[in-house]
Amino acid sequence: MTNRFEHMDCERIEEMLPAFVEHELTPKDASLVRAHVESCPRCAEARQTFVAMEQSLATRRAEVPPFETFLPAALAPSRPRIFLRSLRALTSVPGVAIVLVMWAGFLVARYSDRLTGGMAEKTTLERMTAFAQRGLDAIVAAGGGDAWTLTAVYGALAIAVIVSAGALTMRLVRD
Amino acid sequence: MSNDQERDLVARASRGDGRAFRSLVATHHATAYAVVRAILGSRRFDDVDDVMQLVYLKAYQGLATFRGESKFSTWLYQIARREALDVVSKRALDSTSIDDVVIPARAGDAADSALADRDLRESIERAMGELDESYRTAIELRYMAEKSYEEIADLMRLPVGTVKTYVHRGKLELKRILSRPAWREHKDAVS
Repeated sequence: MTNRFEHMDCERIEEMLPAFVEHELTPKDASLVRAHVESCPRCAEARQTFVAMEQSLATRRAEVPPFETFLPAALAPSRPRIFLRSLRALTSVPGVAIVLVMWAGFLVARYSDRLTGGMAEKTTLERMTAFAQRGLDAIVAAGGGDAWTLTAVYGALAIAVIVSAGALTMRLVRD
Repeated sequence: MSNDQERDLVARASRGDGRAFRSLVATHHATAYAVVRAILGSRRFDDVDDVMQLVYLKAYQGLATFRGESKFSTWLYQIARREALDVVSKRALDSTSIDDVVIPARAGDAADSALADRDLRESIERAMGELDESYRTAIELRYMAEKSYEEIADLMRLPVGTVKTYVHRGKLELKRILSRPAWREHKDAVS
């Protein structure tokens, strides 16, 4: 059986090879070009050249330098920004600690008949404060309940609040 | 990135949000770099770096006037193209000897097996300089920026079929240039 590419000259086939290598030809045209290439050493060599070219061109993406290299100085990450970012990561720890203390207080309050009885008349803020107080008291009691433990626990809480508030303020200012 | 996300980033960046601008640039950097490289070629990489800095500076300064009538990528493409062409016309870049072309080092080229690949890359890099600018731009966007034919057509404001023709004719031209006796002699002299 003859096909319409069989008698085509190699020049015409070569023109189709870039699209053939990229799988951009229709299945019918692709199979016809394939048949010609298989029977023509010259076009087979040309096909190999385009395959090698395709592989080489595909590596060009690696030549693109990072975009940060070209940003205006005002937008490049500077030391203070890196410091802020580190601080933010750090402050997430005391932030989580505060939430945990609040939860501990809440759990203590939930299981304490004495406390829940009196909560009904309190405002939300008073409840939250009381819950936190309960949590802190529980931690202090677990640590021995002496003055040193009390100072350490409340001191750590104060530092955590200050640092978290500071980080939050800086974040709001930056954004 | 969806169109809505991009619109949101553009709005934030135009209000001076540096992080939003960085996100936009990170997404479209390869496109901008590819078009600058296509126009300046590999003649002077220092010029490419200077133009890229100018492109992002102008984009940042001009965001307030960006109306969103076109995509951000198209807008950035136009800035990159304009700035690169401006450098070409101002400095009237002379045709550089193929020996002056310096191929930037690429990670992973250390192995011996990479030598043949590097040899072909260098040959292609030099031959790219002789291509028609339209062919070069289409090829760089296709391979350096890894854009689809549809995306390239969108950026270059051409029919998809024309872009495919540019890429395929560009490759045929590359093969023709690389087959010239002068190139073979140069390659033999280097190796």
